[in-house]
Amino acid sequence: MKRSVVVHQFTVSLSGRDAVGHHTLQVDDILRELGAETTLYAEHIDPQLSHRAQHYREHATGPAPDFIIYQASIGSPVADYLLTRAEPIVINYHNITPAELYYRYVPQLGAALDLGRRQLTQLCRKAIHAIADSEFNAHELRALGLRNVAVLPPLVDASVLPSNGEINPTCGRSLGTIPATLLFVGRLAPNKRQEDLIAATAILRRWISDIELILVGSSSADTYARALKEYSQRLGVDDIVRFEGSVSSKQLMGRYQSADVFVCLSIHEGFCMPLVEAMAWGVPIVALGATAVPDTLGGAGVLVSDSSPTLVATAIERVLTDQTLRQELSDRGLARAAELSPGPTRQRLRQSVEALIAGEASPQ
Amino acid sequence: MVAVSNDQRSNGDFADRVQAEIERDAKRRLKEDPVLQRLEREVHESWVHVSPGAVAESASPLSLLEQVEQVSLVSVDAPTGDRHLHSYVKRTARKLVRWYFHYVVNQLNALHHYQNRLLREFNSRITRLEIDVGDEPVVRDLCDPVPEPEPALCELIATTLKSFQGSISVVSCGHGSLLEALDRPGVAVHGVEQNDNLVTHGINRGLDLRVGSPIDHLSNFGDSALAAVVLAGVVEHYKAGSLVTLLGEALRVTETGGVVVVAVADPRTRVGPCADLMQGLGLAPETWALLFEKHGCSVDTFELNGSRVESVVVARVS
Repeated sequence: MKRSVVVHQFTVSLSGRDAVGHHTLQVDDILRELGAETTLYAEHIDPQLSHRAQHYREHATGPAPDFIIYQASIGSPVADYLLTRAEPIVINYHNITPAELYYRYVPQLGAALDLGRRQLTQLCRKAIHAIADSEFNAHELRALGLRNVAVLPPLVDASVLPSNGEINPTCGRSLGTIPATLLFVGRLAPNKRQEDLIAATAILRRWISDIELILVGSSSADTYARALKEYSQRLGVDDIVRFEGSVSSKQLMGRYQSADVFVCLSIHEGFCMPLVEAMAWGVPIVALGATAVPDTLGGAGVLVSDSSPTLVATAIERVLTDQTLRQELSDRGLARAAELSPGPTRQRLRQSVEALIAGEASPQ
Repeated sequence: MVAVSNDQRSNGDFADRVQAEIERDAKRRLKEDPVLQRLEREVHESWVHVSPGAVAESASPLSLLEQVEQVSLVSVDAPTGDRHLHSYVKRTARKLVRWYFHYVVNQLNALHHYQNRLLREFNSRITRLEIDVGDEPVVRDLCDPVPEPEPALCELIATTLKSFQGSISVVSCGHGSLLEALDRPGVAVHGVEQNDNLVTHGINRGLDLRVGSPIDHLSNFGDSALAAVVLAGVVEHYKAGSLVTLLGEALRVTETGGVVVVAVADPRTRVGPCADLMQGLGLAPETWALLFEKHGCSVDTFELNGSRVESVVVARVS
C-alpha cells in the first residue's frame, strides 16, 4: 500500500478574511483532495479556525513531513523555526512590504517587515521550490537566487464575487443622478497611499462637484489613519471622503455594485486582490502602474505613471465622463477577472501542488 | 512564467493609448491653469503638515513624544542591522535631545523673567511704602554709615561757636561726639538723630539727645529760638529739595546774629558704589554757600585737609 505524502503548511496568521489566510486554507483543501496528510500551523490563529490549525510550537513534537509549505508575507518566529528544520521547504510568496514605508508610522511593524526580508533571503537558500503571486514577486525571489519559481495568482475569495453574471449596474449610467462614487478597498496603510486618493479627490471636485470617495479597509497604522482624516479635513473634503473601516462580505459587494470607478494608487502591491474583485464587478479601474498592479490588471485598467493629484483626477474624470471608455474598461475587466477567477486559478494551483506531491519540484 | 496572450497585448496597446491621452491632458491643464499649480503645491504641503514623518519641520513636542513612544516600543529582539531603523532611531533621538534642551532653556528663561518681575514689583512696593511714610527712598543703608565727626571737625566747630550763648541744636548728631565738644557753661546743647541705637548710646553718656526727623525736630521750635544750628551727617543723604526745606527751617529757628554751621562731605569726592547709589544726594560746599548767600547770610568756608568732611560752611544770619 502506497504511503500518503505528509505535508505541513505554515503561515504567520491564519484568518478566513485575510487574503493570505484564505489562500492558505484553499491550499490545505487542495492537499486533502489530493490525498496528502496535511497539517496547518500558524503563530496567530483566528479562534473560528482553531479546529483547522495548530500553534507552530507544537510542530516539533509530531512526525516529520515530506515537505513544508511556508506562506511568506512578514517576519515571524515561524520562519526562524523553519530555518532550523531539515525538511524540504516550498515558499509561497505573497510579497513583503518595504519596511521604510512603515517606520514613520509604526516602527515595530517596520522592524517585523525588515525581519521578514532577512528571513526570506535565508529561506531562499534553503527552499527547493517557490510559488509567487505575480511576476513581480517571482522577480524578487529570483533576485535572491531562487530559480525554481512558478507564478500562480492567489485564490480570490468567491464570497465577494458576483454570481450568475451579476455585474456593476452603474457602468452604463450617466453622471448627475447620484454622486459619482470613487472606491478603494484595502487596509489604511502607508504603501496603499490613501493620501494620494484624497488629494486627487480634492482636485477632481473642482471639475465634478458631486463626487464621493469611499475607503474600505481597517487600519494597520493608527497614526497614518489619523493623518488621513486630518488631511481630508485640511483639504476641505471630509464631507465627501468616507472611511468605512472593515465591512462584511455582503457590504463589500454593495460597495462594488455602487462604485463608478475603482482607484488604486498603491506604490507597493504583491498582487492586489481588490483589483480582481473590482474587475469581476465590472467596475472601471484607474491605478498607479507600480509593482504588481500592471500584471494583475493585464491592461484592463487606466494606468497613471505617477500619483500627482492633477494627473489622477484627470484620469478619473475621463473614466467617469467617457461612456465608451467606461464600457471598454468594464468589458476588459470582466474578461481579465474571468482569467483570475477562483475556478481556473484553483485548477492551476491544484496542478502545481500535485507536481510537488509527485516530487517533480526537485531541489535546485 | 505566465505567457502574454494576444488579448493581453491588445489590452496593453489600448491601455498605453489611453494613458498617453490622459497624461497629455493633465499636463495641458497644469500648464494653462495657475490655480491648479498652486492647489497641487498646497495639497502636498498639507500632507507634509499632517503626516507624522513631517514632525521635525513642524516641531510639535506632542507629535515628537508620540514618535519617541513608538520607538520605545520597538522590540529589543528586532533586527538592528538595518540602516533605516538606525537612522530613524538616531533622528528621533536627536530631535528629542534638541527638544529637551529647548524645553529646559524655556523653563529657565521663564523662571528668570518671573523672578525679575517679582523683584521689580517688590522694589516698587518698598518705594511706595517709603513715600507713604514720608521718608526718602533709602539707599544710604547700602553705603557705610556716616562716622562720628573727627576730633579736628569737632574742634573747628567748637572754636566757631565758642562765643555763642544760648541754645544750640546739632542735627544728625550720631551718638553725640560733637555735643561733647560744644558742651560748656552757658550753652544748652541738644542733638537730634534718626538712628535710635546711636541716640541710646549718647543718652547713656548723659547727653541731651532726641530721636526724630531733622525737619520735624526743627519745626517744633519758634522763630529765632536757637543761637546756632549745626547740620552734620544728614546733609549727605538728602536730595536738594529736602535740603532746601531743611535749610529754610534752620534759618527760621536761628536768631539774628546766630549761625548755621554745615559740615559738608563733598559729594564730588565719593568713590565706589556710593558714587552710584548716592547720586543726586547732598550738596557741594559752594552750593551751600550760594544758598545761604541767597538768604542774606554772610558765609565763611573752612577747609579741613585730610578729613572725610572736607569743608565747614558757616552762615551768619543777619
